[in-house]
Amino acid sequence: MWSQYDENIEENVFFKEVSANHGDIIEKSCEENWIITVPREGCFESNENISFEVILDHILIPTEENEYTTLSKKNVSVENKKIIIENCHSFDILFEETFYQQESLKYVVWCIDRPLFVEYTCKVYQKVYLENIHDCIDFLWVESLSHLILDQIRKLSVDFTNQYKDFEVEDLQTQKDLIGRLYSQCLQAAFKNTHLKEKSSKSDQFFENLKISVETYMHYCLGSKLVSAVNTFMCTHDGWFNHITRNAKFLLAKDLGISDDFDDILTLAKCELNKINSYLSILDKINCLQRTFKCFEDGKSKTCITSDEILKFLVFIMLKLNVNNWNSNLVFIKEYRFSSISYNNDFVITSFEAAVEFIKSNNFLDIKNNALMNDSKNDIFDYVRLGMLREVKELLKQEKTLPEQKLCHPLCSCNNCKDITNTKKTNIDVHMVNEKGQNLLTYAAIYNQCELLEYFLHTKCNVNSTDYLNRTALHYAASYGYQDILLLLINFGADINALDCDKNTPLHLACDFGHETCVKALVYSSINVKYDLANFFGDTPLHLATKWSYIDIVRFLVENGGYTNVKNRRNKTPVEVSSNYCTRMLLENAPEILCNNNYEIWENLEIMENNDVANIDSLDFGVKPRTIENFKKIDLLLKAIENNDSPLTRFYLGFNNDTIQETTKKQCHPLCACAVCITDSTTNPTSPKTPNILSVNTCNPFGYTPLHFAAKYGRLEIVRLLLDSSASINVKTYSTLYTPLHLACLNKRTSVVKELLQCGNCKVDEKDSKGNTPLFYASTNCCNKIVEMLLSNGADCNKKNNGGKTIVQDCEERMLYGILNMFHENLKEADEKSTWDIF
Amino acid sequence: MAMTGNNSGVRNFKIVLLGEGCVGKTSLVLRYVDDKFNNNHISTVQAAFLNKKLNIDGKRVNLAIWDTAGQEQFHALGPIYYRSSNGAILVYDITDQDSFQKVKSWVKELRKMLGADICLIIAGNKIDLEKDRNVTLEDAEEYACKVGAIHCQTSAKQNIGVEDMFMSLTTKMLDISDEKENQKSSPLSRQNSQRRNVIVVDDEITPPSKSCCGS
Repeated sequence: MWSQYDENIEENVFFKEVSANHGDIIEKSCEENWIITVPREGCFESNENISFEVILDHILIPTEENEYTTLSKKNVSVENKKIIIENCHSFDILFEETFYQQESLKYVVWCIDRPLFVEYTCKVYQKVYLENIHDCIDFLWVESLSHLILDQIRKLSVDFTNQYKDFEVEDLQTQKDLIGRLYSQCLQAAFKNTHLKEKSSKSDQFFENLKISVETYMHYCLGSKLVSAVNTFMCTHDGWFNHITRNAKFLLAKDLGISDDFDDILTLAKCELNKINSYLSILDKINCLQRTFKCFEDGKSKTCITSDEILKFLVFIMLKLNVNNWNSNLVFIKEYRFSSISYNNDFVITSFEAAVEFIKSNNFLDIKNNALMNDSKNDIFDYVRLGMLREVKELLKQEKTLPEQKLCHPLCSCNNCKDITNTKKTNIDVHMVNEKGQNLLTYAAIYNQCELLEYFLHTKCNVNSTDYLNRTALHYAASYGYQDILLLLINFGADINALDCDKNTPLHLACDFGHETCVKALVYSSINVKYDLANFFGDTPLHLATKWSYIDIVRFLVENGGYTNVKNRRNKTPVEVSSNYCTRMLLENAPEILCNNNYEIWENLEIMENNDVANIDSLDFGVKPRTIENFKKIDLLLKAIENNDSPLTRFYLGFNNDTIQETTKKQCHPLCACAVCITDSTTNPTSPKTPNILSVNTCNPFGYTPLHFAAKYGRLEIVRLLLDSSASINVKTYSTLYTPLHLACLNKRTSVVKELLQCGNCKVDEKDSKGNTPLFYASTNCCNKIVEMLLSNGADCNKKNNGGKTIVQDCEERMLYGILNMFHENLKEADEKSTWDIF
Repeated sequence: MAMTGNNSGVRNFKIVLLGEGCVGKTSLVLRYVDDKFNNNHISTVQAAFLNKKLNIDGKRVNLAIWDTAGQEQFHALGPIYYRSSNGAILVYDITDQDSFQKVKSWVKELRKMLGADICLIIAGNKIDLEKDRNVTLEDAEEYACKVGAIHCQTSAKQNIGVEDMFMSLTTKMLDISDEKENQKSSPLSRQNSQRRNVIVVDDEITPPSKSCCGS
């Protein structure tokens, strides 16, 4: 590949001199394949300096391969796009241009970076093309002779960052427009410098360089803001992409058809490409891609590297690298480029794009499967892998029928005993392990053989047996994303928090490989799963999910109690690992309880509990869970209610359908509040009381009981269930003092309000911490229906809140006339009633 | 990104090489750009992307020659490589009828995706192996005529017709680019000319071809 330098040779002073006054040389060049070397523009100021000798020095006559003599009889050689004189001076060949004349005559011109054989002191010898941010800063600094422009660009960028705080959430087009505007501002700032303006108008190359350096410095100043914006825009794509690459991690070079010869190249290229995210500007990123390509070229292997090879290399490297945002990087390079940073790079970028597309197409999954599924059937492990249950059973049966033979003594080596030991070695039993230390059960889990796994679980196979990596079957099921296997294993008592040699739990692996279903299965299936365990690198599952941009998993973990403040070995919390706005927001907005250390809360609460048990168990508030286990359980229960999962709710509360029906039967009518029924319902549903079952009035650390949650999310069925099982209806939360009715009104749950009001003992005018009654919230939410219901149940619209305002006054202020009308009618009725009463 | 961007009078043309594996795509480019031929590719050469600057009667042309991934598993990636290209060289091996059939399918795909704007060259390579010829010259030329492509016969090994092939492609691309330039500058030019150029090539449709390079 030639350098990115370009100039119009026909405008070059040296070339003009040759073509104008030495036509014979050009003619001869056509006939004899001479090469005319032309020092780049700016080396000679006028043709006065160009003597005939100098011209002769610049005409090369080919002698042997890569060897030339000049017309002045001096020897030069050419190597790797450089002209070498006397083995010490080297001159870059910037580019080659072939000139065609009529009658298919042609001659070749090489543009070189300085004249040959001439003591040459250039006044301003600068790099002719820009490669990275340092070149750009140098360029701007040197050319403008001050740091004024740099300062201006930085200031504009900083202003931009401050002005568009939520830049990350904009769509791609808006982002591009905004950045484009900023770019033109920066360019205008640069053009205020008269020196730069003058030079730009003279030379296109200079103008291009100016544009590139301004843009690159702008990227640099915007810093991670811009990168994170692109990451945010592409985060779902990246998450998906990472899921694919992570799961193809164990693919070998030979699976992709890459020969061993390229191992060195690949290692070098990997090192280069791994740096891509340390660069902030497009120019640097492209440069990084190009250096990666250069690794391929420089390899010492003896084959021709074609596009096929390059693609395979790239795919392989991308699968192996720790880079988590390929899509964003590509979009960034392709879409945010305003100056033309040399179209030579187009091929490089396109190749990367093709590699990304190929990975996305998931074609290599076939390759992966082929690699796994070779058909050899040598031993029982192969049968397990191929899922041949019958054969496996038969093999195991054989073993059992073999009579137990005893050795003469444990170390005996007589012929008889040798036979026995030999057959023992090939003996097959359920406890045997393969060369990786995996037993049959683990092996079945690895190959997703559900039936076999079930069979092994029923035999005496050890569920928690570990292989040489210290991984259990559960680890493998989690890392390959086999949910069925995972659930089976958990069901049979697999240790859910087992650690492998890197201290990964199954949850770590499921998060690392992006298997959402498995993460959910692990979290839901057991209350013992630990979220805060750090692996060898100090990463918690949340770190891993964040790192690979698996947004759904991050959200799920945050909602279910992932700890957002744990630091890994690099002293980074998940928020700091996060590369995009979406996951960052999720983590930063995680509920307060999750940001603190949960254990502390538990401890504090336990102390509180011991101090004033009476107070907490009073009727106003829910019941504190007594054990840490129950603390976790109440969270799960509330979650289940939020998800409207009534079977699970029932399960946690410890009653099944039968008991419910019983209780309902025993009541006079479903909503009866007579003494008999109330005592019945208080004793009955929790009657088969086991210590593990939560009482209906258990609350979480904020004082929310299940009824609060059911009311808040409008889970009518669960509300009924809870009311039927004597949940106390007027419980309050701790700091806000909400009753379930408050929450139902706040969230406009009409049917729930109705249900609550139908229970005779519901207090309608209970005040919360601000002194507001449910009616206040219903009216400010404009829920006419709820207001009507509340009023007809005796709610008082003249109650004053802590601010001293009645609800009527408040509604007047908000101009809610429809509701005011209802109030007035209600008041009128009340008046009439009272007058009637007087009579 | 527009490859025909015309700053400082340079015209950038993108040329893609398509064809089955082993028909000699890479050899053709290497012969043209570096004037090299390796029977067994002794040194490592990066042949996936090469640049060539030309100056034809004062017109500066920059050819970016892209070798595309030829293996079947990468077939779906074709459009990523050939989009926005100005010219395509479809190479077949004259000793291999299958490779010629493959060229036909490429022509259809290119015409479908890129319309009539792209200049096509159909190149029968390895004419040094004339004795093993399996694709007749008449067939190939007739087909090329039918789809509006230029047909060339080349041998990268013996350096026959390689330079001429690239030359005729370049002149044709220059013509088209000039035409476009004129269209742009003339006030009557219609805006969406690109849209109208999209045509689907059936085997029946026969846009007139200009000339065949051999003649």
